Amino acid sequence: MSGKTKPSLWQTLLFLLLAIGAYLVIFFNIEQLNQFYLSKAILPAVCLLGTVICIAFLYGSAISNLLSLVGLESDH
Amino acid sequence: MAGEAVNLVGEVMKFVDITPGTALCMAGLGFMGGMLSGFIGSGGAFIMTPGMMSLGVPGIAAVSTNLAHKFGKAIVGARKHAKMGNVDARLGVCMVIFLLLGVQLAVYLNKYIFATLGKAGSNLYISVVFVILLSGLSLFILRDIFRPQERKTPSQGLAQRISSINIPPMIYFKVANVRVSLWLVALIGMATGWLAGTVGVGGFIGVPAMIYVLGIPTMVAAGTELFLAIFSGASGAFQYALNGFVDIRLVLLLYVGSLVGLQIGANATKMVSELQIKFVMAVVIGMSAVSRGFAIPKYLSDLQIASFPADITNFLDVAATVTLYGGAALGVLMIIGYIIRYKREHRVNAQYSQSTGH
Repeated sequence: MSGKTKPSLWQTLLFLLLAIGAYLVIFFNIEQLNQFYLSKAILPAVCLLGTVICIAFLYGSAISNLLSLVGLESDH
Repeated sequence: MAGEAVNLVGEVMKFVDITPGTALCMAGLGFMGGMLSGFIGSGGAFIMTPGMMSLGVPGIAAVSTNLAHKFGKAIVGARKHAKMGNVDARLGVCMVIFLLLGVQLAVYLNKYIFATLGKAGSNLYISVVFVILLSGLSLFILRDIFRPQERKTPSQGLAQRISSINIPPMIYFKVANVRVSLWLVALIGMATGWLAGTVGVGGFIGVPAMIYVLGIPTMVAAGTELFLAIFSGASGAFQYALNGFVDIRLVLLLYVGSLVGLQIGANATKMVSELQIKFVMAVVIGMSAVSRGFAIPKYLSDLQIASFPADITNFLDVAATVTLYGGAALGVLMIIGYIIRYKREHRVNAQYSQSTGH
């Protein structure tokens, strides 16, 4: 659909594994993490938003690369 | 996983328990919202926020979770739009000051209502804002679709009349190529911020306002809105996070579906006409408004403002859920149908070209 170069399979797999790893770490430690995130202080709130950015970047890149590999790339 | 209890003045809020079924519903909700967001250009929250509320998430937690979700998504989207030259940074900086004021006002109001009227009062407030805005927007789009072709005037008409209003200071925005009064920019920024902080999304008002009122090109409006969404999302999510309302589990579950749906929805826009995009938008937004309308009697009963028989409120509650998911599913099915039809026509055309040797 576009003239952009496709991402490599290794790059896609790396992002995918990192995203899955991040999800597993967060969900297996959710009780402790929520105790910190919900403690209503500035640092936990900043850390919470930082976590959201990291996940959006890792998982977003993984999905974008994956869709590019199967020919469904998007400029969005 | 157990729900987390959060102390707040007047009420102890309990987040929703996450069972495998709830997790699947959240990911599905994210997929539908993401696909509609990618297809329509903005929004998605008008499905995700009420959807979370129908799963038992308190309205204020649904809005704050959605804001945190939108924040991460906006960073990714704005970066891509900036590379394509679709972000007017000067306009963005002018709007962001008033946008943040609007967000502050919305967070203050939401917190005040939650503290004084509790969960039902907060849900009622958010639902009423949804019904008024979404039904108005849906009717506006439907009118635009069914208006006779000869009566359609260029969208620049209103913008040209407004840009001729000379209230100093007037500012020229280079990328958008418009010269407008700062007061108009302030008004739109404030309204977008208030909406973003109240219902979790302001783009579905901010983008049309920039196009129809300020006369900004569609792509620049979409890019600048995403740039603004970073600030409104960050500011709103930070304020709510400071009060312990952001549930990271819900944000992550939404991402599972939304980032996939977003890419597919955005791709589908290359395969359809503008009329088809508007039609999907009107159907989904209209059904979402009807759904929130069905939910209002239960909140009124809970607040003892009006009394309805329990059977009726229960029936309307189910109807609200069915209408919401039905509308979103219908929108997604329409998009998938358009993609399939486009691919089939593309294949037939390719076969025909091959057989005729062209």
